[in-house]
Amino acid sequence: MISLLSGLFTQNSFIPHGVCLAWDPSLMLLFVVSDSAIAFAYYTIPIALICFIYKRRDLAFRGIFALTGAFILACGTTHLMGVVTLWYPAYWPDVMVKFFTAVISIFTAAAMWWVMPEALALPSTAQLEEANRRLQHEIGERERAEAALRDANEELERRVAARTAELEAEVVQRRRAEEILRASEQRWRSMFEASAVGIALTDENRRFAAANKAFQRMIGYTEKELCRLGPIEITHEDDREATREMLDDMLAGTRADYHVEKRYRRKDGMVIWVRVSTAQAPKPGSSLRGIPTVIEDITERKRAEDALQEARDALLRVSRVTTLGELSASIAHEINQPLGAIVANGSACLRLLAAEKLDLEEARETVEDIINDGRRASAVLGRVRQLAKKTAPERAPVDVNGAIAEVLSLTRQELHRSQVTARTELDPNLPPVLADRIQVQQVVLNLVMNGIEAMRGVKDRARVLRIKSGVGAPADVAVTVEDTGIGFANSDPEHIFETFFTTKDDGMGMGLSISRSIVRAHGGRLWASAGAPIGAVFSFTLPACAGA
Amino acid sequence: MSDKFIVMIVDDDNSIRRAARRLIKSYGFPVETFVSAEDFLASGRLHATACLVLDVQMPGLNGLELQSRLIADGYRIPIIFITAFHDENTQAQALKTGALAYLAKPFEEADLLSAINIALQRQEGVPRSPGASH
Repeated sequence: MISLLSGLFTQNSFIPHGVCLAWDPSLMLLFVVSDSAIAFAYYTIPIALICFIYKRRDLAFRGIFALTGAFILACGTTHLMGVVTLWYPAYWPDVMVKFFTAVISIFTAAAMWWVMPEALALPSTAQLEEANRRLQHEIGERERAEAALRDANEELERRVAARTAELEAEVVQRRRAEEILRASEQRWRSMFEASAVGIALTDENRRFAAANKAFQRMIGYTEKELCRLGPIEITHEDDREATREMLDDMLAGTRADYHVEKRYRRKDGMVIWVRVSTAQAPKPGSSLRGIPTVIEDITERKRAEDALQEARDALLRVSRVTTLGELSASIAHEINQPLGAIVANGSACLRLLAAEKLDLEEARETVEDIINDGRRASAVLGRVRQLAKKTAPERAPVDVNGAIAEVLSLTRQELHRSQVTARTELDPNLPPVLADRIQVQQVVLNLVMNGIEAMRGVKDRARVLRIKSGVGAPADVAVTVEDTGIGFANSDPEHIFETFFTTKDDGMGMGLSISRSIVRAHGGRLWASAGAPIGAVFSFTLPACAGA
Repeated sequence: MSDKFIVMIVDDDNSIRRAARRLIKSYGFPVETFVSAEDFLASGRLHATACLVLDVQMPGLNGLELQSRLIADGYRIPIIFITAFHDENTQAQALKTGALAYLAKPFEEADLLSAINIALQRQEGVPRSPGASH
């Protein structure tokens, strides 16, 4: 190896380069210094490049950098060889180095061209800076946006939390309200179902929307059947029109409620009496649709009322007959008078007809008297029969003075027998009253008989019965019957109106209480007060006929 | 029949007065009528009364009261009571105090006539008034 190297450097066939330079020391020095400097520099650059490549691992085109480093290193070597060849003619090594340098430089050049497009595509620093600036800006924007988003998120979360809390509170509240409502609904429902009275809800189409058990039992229809029916359909034919009108008014809102007694026709055709009460109709837009109605079966009550009315009528008749019974002596007297005249006239007439000298004129007069007395007896009986007969009370204009006069004609004998003087002060301008004539007479009769009775024990003064009629308060006819009897002492005059209150041993104590109920039924008043200075005063009023 | 035998009728009922007068007249007795006891007392015809047909129930002085009054005043007038209101107590009282008869309306013609005839028979020897006996 050393021999080879020495061979290379000791090729005597060539002359050193210095020869060409005539060994000129300045020239030689310049050559040596320049080539050495270049070589030094050329060796330094690749080391810097290697360092660079080593440090910058991300560097693009590392191959190119390596090739360039090798090429520069080779170039440096050629210059070093130039220094060597100044003194030693080692041109073979020199050219070998040159050749190697040529090859590597070619490769380097080729590679440079090869990567040129790629290298050009690499962004410039300005571009990078711009891109960087934009990026920074974008990053800033993004950070701001993110911050805003974060803020918004936080706000949203806060709101969500707040709303969630609210909703939870609401849910709790609603649940509680629902529970209360359910409890209330249950309570009402159980009341509705357990109620002994019928309860129904009528909708705006006049159909039943709901009906409780009591109502179903009452009317005989099931709730399902009732939902296809309405209040009008189940109402008795005669009461339908009134029901329709009231229902229309309720639905139109012109009527707040109604309470009425009417008839229903049950499913089985039976008629029942009911009391229907409706509450306030719901206002338009209310969640409660329909008219709540309470229905009470009052059939039994109605039946009892009818029976009571019949009993009352019967009692009135009985009391009339009883009063007539007390009057029987008077009535007999009233009839016996004309009968006595008739019989006497008849006897006289027979004698007239049998006389030798026939007095036809006298006979005719006698027969006329008989006829008149017959009529008179008949009239008395007619009045008695009218007082006793079984008739439903009937209202018609009644002349109160006339009624009083008739009663007095029936009681005349009773008055006389009891040594009572009757005095009348009847107002001739008395308006008629709308009343049942017989009942008015019964009241007067009761008061007259009562007055006679009250004076029965009176010995120390005149027994006077004063009967007055007149116009009382506006549109009232007033009648007073005053006696000079025992009066009320210190007791309350009102007691005597109590049923079965009596001072008579044989009395029933019903006359005055019946009289009062009669007067009340006519819209009037009957009361008693102490007479002045003695006795009792009975007064009653009856409303005068409208327009009279 | 005696012209002096006059029958007086006191009754507040017009029909009875007319009928009774007609019937008694048909037997030929003179008849006078009065509407009340007070009327009769005031008439001044008490001395002329041979027989009194007297109603029991009348307003004012009634038949029994008139009877008591006449007795108290010394009159012995035969009285025939007629009444439309039959009452045994009144009848007993009337007869006890000397009434000839007590007839309930409607009375029988025969009853009235026989009572009048009794009065007529009594008239024969009995003075009719306090004044006549003195």
